[in-house]
Amino acid sequence: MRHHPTETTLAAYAGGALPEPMGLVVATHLFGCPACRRLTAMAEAVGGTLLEDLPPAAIDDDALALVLARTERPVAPAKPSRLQGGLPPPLNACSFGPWRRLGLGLRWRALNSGSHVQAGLLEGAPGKSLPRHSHAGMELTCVIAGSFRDGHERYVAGDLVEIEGEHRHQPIIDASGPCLCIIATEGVKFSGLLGFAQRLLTD
Amino acid sequence: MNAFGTLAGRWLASSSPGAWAQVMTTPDPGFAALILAVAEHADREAFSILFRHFAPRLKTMLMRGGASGQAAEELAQETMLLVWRKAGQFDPEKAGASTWIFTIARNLRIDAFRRERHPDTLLPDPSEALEEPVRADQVLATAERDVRVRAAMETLSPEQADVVRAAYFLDQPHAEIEKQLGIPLGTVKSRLRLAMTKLRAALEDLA
Ligand SMILES: [Zn+2]
Repeated sequence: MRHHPTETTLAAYAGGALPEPMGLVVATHLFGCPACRRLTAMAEAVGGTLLEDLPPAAIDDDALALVLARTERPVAPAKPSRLQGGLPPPLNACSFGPWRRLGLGLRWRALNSGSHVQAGLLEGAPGKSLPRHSHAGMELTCVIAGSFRDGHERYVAGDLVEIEGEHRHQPIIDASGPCLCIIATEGVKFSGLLGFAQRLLTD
Repeated sequence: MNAFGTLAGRWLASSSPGAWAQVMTTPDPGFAALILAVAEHADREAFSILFRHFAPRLKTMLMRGGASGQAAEELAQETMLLVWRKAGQFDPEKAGASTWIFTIARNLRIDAFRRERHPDTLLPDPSEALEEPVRADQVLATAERDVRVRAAMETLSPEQADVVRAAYFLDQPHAEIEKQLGIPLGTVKSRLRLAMTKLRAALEDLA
């Protein structure tokens, strides 16, 4: 694994400022990357230090008594989440829509997140390439299985691809097998293949 | 313009380098032991000490993130309730007390934010899936890490420290800072990147 999230993205993740679907993509990478887990732990320690150093606000007089009273009440057991087979643990309990064929050897399964950030699983057949497209905003992709090439770079399982701002590219999936990715994106513009973007992102 | 309006401005205006350096003293005056006491024998006295220290700071943090006084009060109480309930999961070898409490509040804030906007969706907390056994050689590393993080933060320039603090507490921090202070997004990100690199370098040789 050679491709990691940037420090600013990890700091945003640790601080809770990354939109949730993007956080899931980062978590998928963290699952397989001890180095980034250490960096995230550091970024969380920064958060702890900042909390420690804040001036106290006035809180309600009865706040402590209220909370102590609530500790006596029984806790409702957490609803067991429906687990998906074959996905890394951070994605295991997520809710996804049905697989949809996009043509071109691609299929897409949207994450039900309700966020303004579109996210989902994209799977491509061996040797296929994504239509040439450009980006506006931020896009995070983590490879779950298989591999692809984009220009001179090769991306394998666990790798995280971070794209920010105006950017054009055309990833090509390696011939050795299908490639499954989790993607979260603020905006993709496809050039040439009209309607692809709509089908990809608006279900 | 949203409710977070002038928050970035207020937040950044309220921070001075002097105050910043002044508080960089001891990392953990025994809070970890208090959480363990809650875990082991539901120690209400220990919890009260934790509550009096952290609840008012959590409230400040949440208000600076844009919550109303009322909402911040509720979330601070909710966080402390989870400190009680999850005390058994606290592992001082993995995170310091204030770091652990920070992550609980962070996750609650994400939940609250989602409920506000998309009441019918539920995403799991991805960090729960990342639990892993701790190696013995990480024990020292955690305590050492907190001390070094603190020391490294002291070396940040006031501009870097401002951006780091804003990045942790503001909603949509990068865009907010850009809007409120007229610092271009690229500058915000490069300051944050420099700060993170500095922090990372301070920890390089730790496990
Ligand atoms: Zn990594």
